[in-house]
Amino acid sequence: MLVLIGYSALLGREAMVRLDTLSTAASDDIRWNMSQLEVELLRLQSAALKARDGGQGDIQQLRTRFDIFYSRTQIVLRGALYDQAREIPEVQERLQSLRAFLAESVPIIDAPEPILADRLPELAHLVEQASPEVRDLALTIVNTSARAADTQRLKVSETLRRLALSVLGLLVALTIVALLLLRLYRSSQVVSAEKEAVKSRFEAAVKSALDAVLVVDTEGHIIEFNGGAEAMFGYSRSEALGQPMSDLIIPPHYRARHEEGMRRFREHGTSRVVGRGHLRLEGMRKSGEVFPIELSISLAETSDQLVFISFLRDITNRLKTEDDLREARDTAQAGAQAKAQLLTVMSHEMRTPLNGILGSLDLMERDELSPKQVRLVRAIRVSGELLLTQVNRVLDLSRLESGMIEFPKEPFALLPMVRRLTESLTAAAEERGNRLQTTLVGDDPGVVLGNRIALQQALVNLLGNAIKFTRNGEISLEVERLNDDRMIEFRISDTGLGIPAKDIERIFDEFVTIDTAYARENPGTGLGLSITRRLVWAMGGEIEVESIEHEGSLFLIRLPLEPGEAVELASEKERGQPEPGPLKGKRVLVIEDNDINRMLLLDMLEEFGCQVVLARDGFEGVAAAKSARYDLLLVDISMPGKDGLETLREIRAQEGPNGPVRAIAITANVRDEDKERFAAAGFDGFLAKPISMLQLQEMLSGLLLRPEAEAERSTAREFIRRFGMAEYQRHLLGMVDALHAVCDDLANTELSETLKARVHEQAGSAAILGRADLHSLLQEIEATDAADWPARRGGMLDRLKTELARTRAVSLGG
Amino acid sequence: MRAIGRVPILVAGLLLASVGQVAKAGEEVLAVTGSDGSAISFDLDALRALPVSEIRTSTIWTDGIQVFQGVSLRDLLDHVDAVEGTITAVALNDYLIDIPTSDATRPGPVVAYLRNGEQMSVRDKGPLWIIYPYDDNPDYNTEEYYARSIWQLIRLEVPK
Repeated sequence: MLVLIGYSALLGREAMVRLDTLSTAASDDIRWNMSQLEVELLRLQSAALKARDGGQGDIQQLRTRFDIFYSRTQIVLRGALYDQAREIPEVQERLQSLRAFLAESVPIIDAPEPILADRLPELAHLVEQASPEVRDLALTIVNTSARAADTQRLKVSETLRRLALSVLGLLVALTIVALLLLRLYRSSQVVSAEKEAVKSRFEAAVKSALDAVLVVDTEGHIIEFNGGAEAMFGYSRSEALGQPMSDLIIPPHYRARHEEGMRRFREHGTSRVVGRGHLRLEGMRKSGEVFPIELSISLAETSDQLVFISFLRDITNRLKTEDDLREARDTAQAGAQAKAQLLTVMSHEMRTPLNGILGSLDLMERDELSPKQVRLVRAIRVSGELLLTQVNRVLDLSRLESGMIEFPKEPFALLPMVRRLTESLTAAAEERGNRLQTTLVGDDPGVVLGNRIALQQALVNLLGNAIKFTRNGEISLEVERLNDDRMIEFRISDTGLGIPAKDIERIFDEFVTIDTAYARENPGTGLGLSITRRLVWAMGGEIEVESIEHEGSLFLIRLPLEPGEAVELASEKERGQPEPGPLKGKRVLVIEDNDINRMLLLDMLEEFGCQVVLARDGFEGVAAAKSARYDLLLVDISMPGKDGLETLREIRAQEGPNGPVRAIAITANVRDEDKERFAAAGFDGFLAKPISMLQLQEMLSGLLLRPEAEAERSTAREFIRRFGMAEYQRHLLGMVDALHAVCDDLANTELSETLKARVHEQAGSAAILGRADLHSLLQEIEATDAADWPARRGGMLDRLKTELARTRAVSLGG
Repeated sequence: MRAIGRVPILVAGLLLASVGQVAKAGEEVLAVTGSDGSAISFDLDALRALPVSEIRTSTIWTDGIQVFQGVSLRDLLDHVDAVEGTITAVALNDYLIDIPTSDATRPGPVVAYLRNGEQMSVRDKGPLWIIYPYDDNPDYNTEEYYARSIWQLIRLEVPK
């Protein structure tokens, strides 16, 4: 468009110039003058002729006419009008002849009258000659001027045309620009309206914000102060506007830092506070009260200035709440810890005497007892084991709660484990007239990956409950793999007392027992279901219950048990027979503060044939270890004064004979951290109380006798290696059950050949399964004469039963 | 024309041309007649007695800038008590042109009797020539005004 404007201007000027030229170009005058020249020449010619024939007056006329003609010639010869014409060669030529005529005629005209009169014919002749030349001149000039005029006119019209076009173009451009401007204007209106809307929305937001919103300029003066700020700080808006912020709302001890920060920002444009998210600082109210605030500041740029916008929140309440919560949490944690500690200590305290009781029973059972004594011992054992179970349960619960128990996954054969379980409980079930059966629904899950011990515990709990609460009824355990190939469902149903609807919610809670006729007779701690549920949850499963009072109950466990691969189980420890022989003569130092436990250990070790030296505490132990060399140290961990760890460390540190000796820790608690501590102190192994002779023997053999014990255990191990632990245990169980039947028969009848055959059969099993003692006992029975039998029956059967009990223990595994 | 000797003749002619005949003293140079029938006669001195005006300009009929002196048309009209209307100007060769009295402005056209300080002979388009100030006013450079620039003026018919 600028180009067009420029071009138009240029053309306009050109047009003006040309028009000007047109107006001043006196082209008509050029022609008029030429024609007048001709006219005057003709008049001159006519005057000359008249004068020739006439009188004096005519001479004067002639002179005048010549002057007039002459004056016209000066115009074409000299006038500015003919400047251009005189350039043209043709014109120059004719002008020459005109000049020549004048030169010749002037002297004649100017001569005195008589001479002039004489020369009149000459003059007439000159004039006559000049006439066509002048005509010629006139025509030439007229033609050239006409051409020039036309050219001029064309140029002008061309210029005007171009001017018109360019003006048109300019108009179009202007129109477009106008339209654009209109559009710009409209859109700017829209933008402006939007900005207005945003602005008013923002203002409304700030005004109604609950938090305090402050806008401050770079000098620190308050520009905006919303309602929230008024409420928080106590200043009214009018009071606050224009004031320096630091004086009003920053506590004195922060002011210096604030000013520093503002100065730094003004100079360098950096800030530790602006745009750094939420900060906790302190603010000051009008009253002077200093309170904690949370704030966030950002920088905004308006059209002409930088401002700081900050949002502040009074967090006095929040901080207080946080503190309260922290306190409550700490209290709760302390309480939980205290509880855990209490349980641990208590269980230790309870287990130690139990250890004593059960251990003594172990020893008693080894001797020949009268039937009455046997019954009494059994009663004591039952009570003792029950008590131990309860104590263990409490301990388990506290451990489960604090997440201390690990649940490693191992592969095991599910159905054999279940069957073994139910078989072990069959006797108890039948005692109450119940029928217990196990059913598999769908495909055999085979070997699964899961925690065998936890699952066993849960199932035993539930089945035990079912048996407990049912009399002369049906108890059934169904095992089914669900569709997704991951979960397995165990359904334990009974036709027993059932659970009242109002109590169903509570039964899994701790220490909850239902007040039924049965429960009143058989009080329990109410921990069983609670432990069961925690076990199920720990395995990643679910447990549900349905029950109708007086009709029965259904407990349902769903666990993820993915298919696993059977693995060689040769590494599993099996419980072999206590073998006294190989440990004979080993020197053992026992350091134990508890009298009963000390006595027990002494007895057990002397049974093995060891030579035992006792120490009553850590000091005696260290002293004893200094003087003589031993094969093994048995050290109780929890002794007053110097505990077991300290004692062993000292012994190891001594430059005495017992530095490298093997040591076993005796303890009530075995957690992972404990195991680490024992190992760190220098122990080679540990035994958990209550200690059985079997465990003791195994540990001793393991540490002292490796090569010899191998032989005996290898038979059992061989079997296990070939067929798996589950099979081994199943066979053991089978054998034990068969022998129980034999026992009953042996008790009541003669030692017939048939019976001997049965005994013989089981003796074979015993041998293969590595139960050497049982095997030799059975052989003994087999070898006994039928005549001798009645006399020896009592003792042998007792021994047999003891043996069977031990074997059963092994067959039930963990 | 004779070819030989043309140049010297030309030179001589040019020189002689500049002589010409000027108006003699007392000789009437301008007759001013009124529409009321009055008539005033002016000789050169009578005109020179009136206020003198000067125009310095170039013209299409001359070469270069000329200085014309004479009485301005306005002064002349006022002197003869002419009223508003149209003047008729007549020249020696019976050329005739109308000039409106509105043309007589100050500055404006002048009835010139001196060109470059010299009286004008008939050959010089004298003794009287109505000159407009062409260079000062582009409006005067039109054919209308060229036509009004009458030379060899002998008579003015003025409205009264």
